[in-house]
Amino acid sequence: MKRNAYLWLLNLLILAASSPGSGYSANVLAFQRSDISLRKDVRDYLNAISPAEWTEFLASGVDSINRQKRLEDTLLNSDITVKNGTLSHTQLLDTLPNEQSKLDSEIALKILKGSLFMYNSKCLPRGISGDECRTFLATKPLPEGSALSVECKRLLNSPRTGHHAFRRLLPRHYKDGFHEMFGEDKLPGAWAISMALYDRDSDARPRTGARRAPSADDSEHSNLVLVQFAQFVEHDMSKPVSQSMSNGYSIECCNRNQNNLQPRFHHPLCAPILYNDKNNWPNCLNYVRSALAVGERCTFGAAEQLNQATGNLDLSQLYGITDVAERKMRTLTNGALKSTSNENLLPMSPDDEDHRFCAWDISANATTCFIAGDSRVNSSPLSILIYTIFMRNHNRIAAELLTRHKNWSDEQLFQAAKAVNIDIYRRIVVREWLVEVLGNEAAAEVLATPPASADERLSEVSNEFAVAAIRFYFSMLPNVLHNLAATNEVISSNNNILPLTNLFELKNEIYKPQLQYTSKKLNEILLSLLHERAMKMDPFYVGAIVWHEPTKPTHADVLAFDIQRGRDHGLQPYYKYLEACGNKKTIAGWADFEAVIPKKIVDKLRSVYRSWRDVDLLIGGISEQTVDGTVGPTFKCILAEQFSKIHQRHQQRKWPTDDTLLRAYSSINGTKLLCLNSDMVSVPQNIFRLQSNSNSLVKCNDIV
Amino acid sequence: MIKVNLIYPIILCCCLAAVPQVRAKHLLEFIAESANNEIEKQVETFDFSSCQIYCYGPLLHTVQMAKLFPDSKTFVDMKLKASPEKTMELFEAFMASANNTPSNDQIRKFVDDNFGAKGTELEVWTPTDWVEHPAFLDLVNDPDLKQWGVDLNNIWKELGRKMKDDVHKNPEYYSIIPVPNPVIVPGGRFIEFYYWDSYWIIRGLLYSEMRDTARGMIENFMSIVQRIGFIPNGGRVYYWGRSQPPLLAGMVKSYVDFTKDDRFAINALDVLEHEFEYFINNHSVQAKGYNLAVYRDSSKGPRPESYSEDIETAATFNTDEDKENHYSELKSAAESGMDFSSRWYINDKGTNVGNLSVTKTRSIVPVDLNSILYWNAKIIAEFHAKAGNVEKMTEYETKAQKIKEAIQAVLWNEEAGCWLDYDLINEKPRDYFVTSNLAPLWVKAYNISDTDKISASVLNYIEKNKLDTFPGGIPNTLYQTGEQWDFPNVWAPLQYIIIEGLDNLGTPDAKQLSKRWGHRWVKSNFAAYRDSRAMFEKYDAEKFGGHGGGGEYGVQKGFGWTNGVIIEWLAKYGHEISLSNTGAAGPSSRFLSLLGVTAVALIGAFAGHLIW
Repeated sequence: MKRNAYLWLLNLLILAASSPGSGYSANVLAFQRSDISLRKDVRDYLNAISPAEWTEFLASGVDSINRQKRLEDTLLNSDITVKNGTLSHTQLLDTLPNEQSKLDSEIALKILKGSLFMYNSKCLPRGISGDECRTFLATKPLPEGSALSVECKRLLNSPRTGHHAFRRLLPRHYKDGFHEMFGEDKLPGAWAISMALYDRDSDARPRTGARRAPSADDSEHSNLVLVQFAQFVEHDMSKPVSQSMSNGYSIECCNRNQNNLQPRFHHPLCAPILYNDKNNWPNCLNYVRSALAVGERCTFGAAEQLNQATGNLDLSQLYGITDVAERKMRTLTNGALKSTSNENLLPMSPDDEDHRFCAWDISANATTCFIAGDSRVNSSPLSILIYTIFMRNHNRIAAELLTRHKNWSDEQLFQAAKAVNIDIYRRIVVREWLVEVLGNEAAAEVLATPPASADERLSEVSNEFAVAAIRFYFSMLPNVLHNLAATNEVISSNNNILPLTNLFELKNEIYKPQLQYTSKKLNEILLSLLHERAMKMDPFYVGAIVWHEPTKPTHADVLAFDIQRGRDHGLQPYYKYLEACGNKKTIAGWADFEAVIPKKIVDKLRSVYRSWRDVDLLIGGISEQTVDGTVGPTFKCILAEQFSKIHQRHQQRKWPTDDTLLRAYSSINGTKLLCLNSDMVSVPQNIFRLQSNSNSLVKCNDIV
Repeated sequence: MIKVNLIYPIILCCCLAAVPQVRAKHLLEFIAESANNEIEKQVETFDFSSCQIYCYGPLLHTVQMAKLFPDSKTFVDMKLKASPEKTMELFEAFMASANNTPSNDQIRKFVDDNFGAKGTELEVWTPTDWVEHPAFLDLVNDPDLKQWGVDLNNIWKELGRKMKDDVHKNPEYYSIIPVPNPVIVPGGRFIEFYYWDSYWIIRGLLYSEMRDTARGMIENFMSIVQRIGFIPNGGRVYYWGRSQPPLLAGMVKSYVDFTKDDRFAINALDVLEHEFEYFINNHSVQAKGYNLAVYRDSSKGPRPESYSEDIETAATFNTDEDKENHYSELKSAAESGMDFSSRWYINDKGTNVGNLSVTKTRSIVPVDLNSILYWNAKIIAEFHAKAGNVEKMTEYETKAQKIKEAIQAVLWNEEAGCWLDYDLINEKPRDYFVTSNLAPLWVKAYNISDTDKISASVLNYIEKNKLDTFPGGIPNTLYQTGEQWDFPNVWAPLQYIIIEGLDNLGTPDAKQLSKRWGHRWVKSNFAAYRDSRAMFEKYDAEKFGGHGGGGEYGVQKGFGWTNGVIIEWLAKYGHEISLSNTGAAGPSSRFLSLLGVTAVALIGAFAGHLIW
């Protein structure tokens, strides 16, 4: 069946490599699109479906969604929705949909349902596969004049920023070819995988590497700034959001005890993450299927997940993805962004009435809750720090511009400062951070990507990037951040390991900012970020971000969540990407994984998965041995593909601001960014690595 | 006398002030009538001493509220290690030692110490009359469907259960109701026999040529009627206050139709009459001046097998009386077999919007129950005719006609063009689609002379409700509440009732629709079986080959009535259904070869499994 099922066609992009010797080859891979050809008898049969039947399928889809409203009313009456301060609330803030996404998703869901009615009525009973059926459906416009067609077109003609569909590198992978996730009859449960991979011993080991004297050995070690930039970049480019009930309320799939809900309370969009405790009660973490985007042509077909972010490095996580959101962040005088505490901290929303930024409940009596363009700003103190630095940078630039251009309006100042801020950010991400993540060679290839032609459609963010590859950084996060500011000098001449105090424990701070945030506190965090070694990227996550006991969870399990989300988004299993990235070398068994994954870990995976064909992309990706850079070959391939698209965009879409203005700030690199926007005395030359003999500290006074 | 205790609460709970007198009269008649017969003596033995453990009381409450098991039914199916009395003593001592506030761990230990594993009273039993190649298989042309028929015939061996000798010796140690013969159970969490499920199971057994097993199950039910006067919902003492749609007469008729064993029919008459009178006596109401029946329950307290769930839904009620009434409504819904459903909701506006707390089963006159009671009377009359007892035959024909008149007068709705349940509180028909609205077609509880008119009306009703738009079968209702007898769940017995009903109606249009739906059901069940290798308790109207969900427990596999319906329809349609006549599906493949990649006809979801 495989023989004819997928015809691998060359992607336009490869064809566009009209300069064959551009060095654009090994790592920055263009994924090939697969087209499914319909057999003639199938096409004839499906072409015979009457217009009245098409109208009926769509009507059935709409009826189906409307019927769910009864259930949703019952859920609300039974108080089954995400409650403030709960574990599900914390998870929700990571995937918080806005009103526009809810609208998009509901329309997309109705179209999907209508398509499924056709599939179940016409294709399945005839033995026509989901792939074939879907391919045909995508050629079929919604019935002209139908309410859904009208709504769909209206959406397409409205501004689409921040609600495009994710792109796919490989064809979707669902049980029915459309949207149905594979069940635990086929795949091990997401939580079970996370539990099996948890390494108690390594989690318990005290981490003291950060306090060692600089040595040659450290030159290869990433610090936590690298990790945190990964998250910051993720926030900028990617935000899959949860679907909601039609009445706008969030969906809860677990009961108050973090157990499975009774089936009667199960929302059709729920896919809870479950793991049985010792008495066979299923512990439960919320998981709601991701929001869907309306396709580009208002046809029937399978839906794609929605990206509630701009697929571009534009600091939208700080400024907001829409003009309305941006205005909320501005003071509207002198081009500045809102701030608190003498411009040192992000603006705060102590009342955060809608609980859109922090997972406090009403009784928590908490006052700290920062706001930014993205609900994920408070996901950790590390996140807060990076957002703060770019907020300070904006305001610093705006102030400088004001001194030089006294007559500029707020708008002029703001736009100019924003343009400069983004330019600095892009340069640091692409020229400095990316090199650390991908290694020199691959990063160079990304930067060698030829500009897209002016009329070429810009590529959106890939699903594989958004819900798998960019998530590598969680593997590198520590349980605690140590306080390195206790002794003033980081460079200590003796090799003694000093007892460390903790700045904070990560698990206590996720969406619940409890620290006394001051400029000084942020400085301490930055100092630790720069000088604490990032953990290795591997399949072992620390206890702060996974829940590894069969007991009632009190915090989430990000690994289980990511596995579940990968399945929700219909990613192909890991080996498919390994094949695609390795120039189609066919994988034939576990042994073939050993070329890229340490044998010890392959053995571990064999004990978790029934088949090598089942290994989830995320799990395979984080298991790979890093070569150079911080990720293995498959994630490198996916990340490079995405950043080459981003780089194309950057080259195509020039910022409207005067080049001379940008040039005036072009000397600002990572080191200067941190020096200028903190109270650091010195920072390493390469801000993404631990200081070492080859990465010496630079005194801030010397460079600014 | 126990029987009176059983019936009185019904009378007292009845919400219609005028009705108790009517009921009381019936009751007295019933008691008088049966005063001298053998059944009456055995009625007095209806005293399950294990009920103090499994049906009500502080032990049940304490253990079930501790929620030791994910499925509340687990505990009430566990075996006692000591006698009920001794166990209660131990329990009292245990509570005293824990200051009446034992921890969950302590309760778990108490249960571990005093109860054995669930289901140990039954052992797997291979029916002795099982045959490898029942004749219905020869009626099936398509090789894949034929293989499926072979598999289904094999599943009877997995669902056979026999009670251990100890159950007969020491019944008080168990919640199971002892019966003399082995049984076929539904499967999954339903590890004992169930009343209305058994109708379709028995028909499947008869098609599978397992007449002894079928007769054994019928005789079990008859012995229960002789012992306790009625057939409980299922074979557990904790179902003591509720029955299920009364299909014993239908079972006997099925057996007699297959075996031509008229003597069996005649011998069953006493029991069938007794059971029929039980239902009439304990369930009748007046609507628009006609006598009709409703579902009722006669016990107190939450459902023992879903105890904490019921306590939770009752939390919205403030008084004990309201709570007790709520439990009665829930248990009455359980008696209907459709637990739970918007079919039983009456809110204060008189509509079906709401949740479990507005369940008002006792105030809704159900189309299906009254149709089945009509059929009971017809069958009893028929059997009396076999016995040559014209007087009795006439008596039951008259009863049947009375019920039919009442159905026509109260439940037929000219405007809707269909039968509708009747709301006694608001005194109005309930114009909501429920599969059971079409039940009169199945048992012909209408004037045959009206056939053409009814056919046109009913087909129009089907069209209006868009019932033909669902690829996975006719949903039980069109209202998605999360309850398992609501949208989108599809249940084999109700598909059977509708599809056989349309066939019985006999008009060309009705027969054609019936056949199309019958074929679709067989194919859709096959698709589900092919993908999951399982037969399900319920299916999903929106999915071809997808199973159902909702309610208070996960979907069950097995599954008795689903298998029974399919076996009957393989026999009925097997000569004309082909899976490979689809043109689009490419070369046909054999079901046995499913594990090979060559199964081109079976692409769909299955392909996903293999390739990736």
